[in-house]
Amino acid sequence: MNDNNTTTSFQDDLPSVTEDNNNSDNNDDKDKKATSSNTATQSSSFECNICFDEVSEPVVTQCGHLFCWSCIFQWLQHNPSQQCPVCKAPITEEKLIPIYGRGGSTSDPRKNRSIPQRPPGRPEQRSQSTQSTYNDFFFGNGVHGGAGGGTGFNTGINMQHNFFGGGGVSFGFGLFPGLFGLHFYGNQTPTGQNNNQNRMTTDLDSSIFLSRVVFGIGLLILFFVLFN
Amino acid sequence: MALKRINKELQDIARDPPSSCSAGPISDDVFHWQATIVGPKDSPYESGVFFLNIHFPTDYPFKPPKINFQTKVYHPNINANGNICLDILKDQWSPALTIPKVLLSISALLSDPNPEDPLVPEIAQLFKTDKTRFEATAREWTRKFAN
Repeated sequence: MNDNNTTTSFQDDLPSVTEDNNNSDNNDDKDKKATSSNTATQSSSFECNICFDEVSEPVVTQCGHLFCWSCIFQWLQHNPSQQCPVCKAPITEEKLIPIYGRGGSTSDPRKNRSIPQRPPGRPEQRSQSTQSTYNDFFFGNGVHGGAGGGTGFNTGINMQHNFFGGGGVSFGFGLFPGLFGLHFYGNQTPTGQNNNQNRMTTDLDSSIFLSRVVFGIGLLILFFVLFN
Repeated sequence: MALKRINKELQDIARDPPSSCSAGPISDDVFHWQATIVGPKDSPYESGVFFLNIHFPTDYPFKPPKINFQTKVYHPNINANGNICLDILKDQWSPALTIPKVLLSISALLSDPNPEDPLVPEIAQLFKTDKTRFEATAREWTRKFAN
């Protein structure tokens, strides 16, 4: 029923818009009528499927159904089978997508403090962010610049470019790309800007140790090669 | 929340009244409604007018409304107290459902009894074994109580 209302309001919108564009004097009365019916149904365009009111803090399910964050949160607490109220598709709190319009909502719907803040948006991470951390690393630390060059050969053309900018002395370090790659990740992750990477910190504790051992062995081999 | 939502439904019903049923508050208490369903065509309940009581819980629409028949109905899924055995009034409830939609489902239940999940086993048994006798009794009850 609610869905029907939404469709009707959209259909109502169309003629009124075209009439406004024509701006013909003959249609004045008609225009007024269309505008008044438009305002009457306009609020139903983006109604929550639970409270039937205009959505506040809108979130949309993967099946495309719109709800207030507080409404769908309360429903998920009541409903152990975690189904969409409209189509019964399985839904989870993690997969709800918040919708951010311009200006934002005027009133705070979270007067009830028992309802947590709605989940944040989860934009896809692009590989560029990883590249910039490589940059910081190379230019921030001249001693390891050459060592990073080895990693550059492994990970891509851009890395190579950065490396050559850093200094050509360390070209030979490219012989051991894997070793220095490990070292890099171990040091970078705890200070990384990406929140997702922080989750892996515990996993990486052991790999930091391992990478240092490997790094030491690598240095030994280098000395061996250079001084023999 | 509940009050606002109930008032919204009331507005919707006034704007777009459902065809074979009606619903609205009895007094000032909007949490207590009365509804009517006209017996569906081609069923033994045809032309009967059935009254129902609707009670909205305070946490509506997260919990289903309590609906029961005030009019006596001879039906496998409706007992002598007027209680209705219908999944959407229990575990299959959804907050996107509205009173007109629920009344439509009850009307569909009148047309199509579900003897596999009976509330009155004797009526369900008769429905399965002797449909003519079942329909005769249902028609008799409709004539007696729903006119």
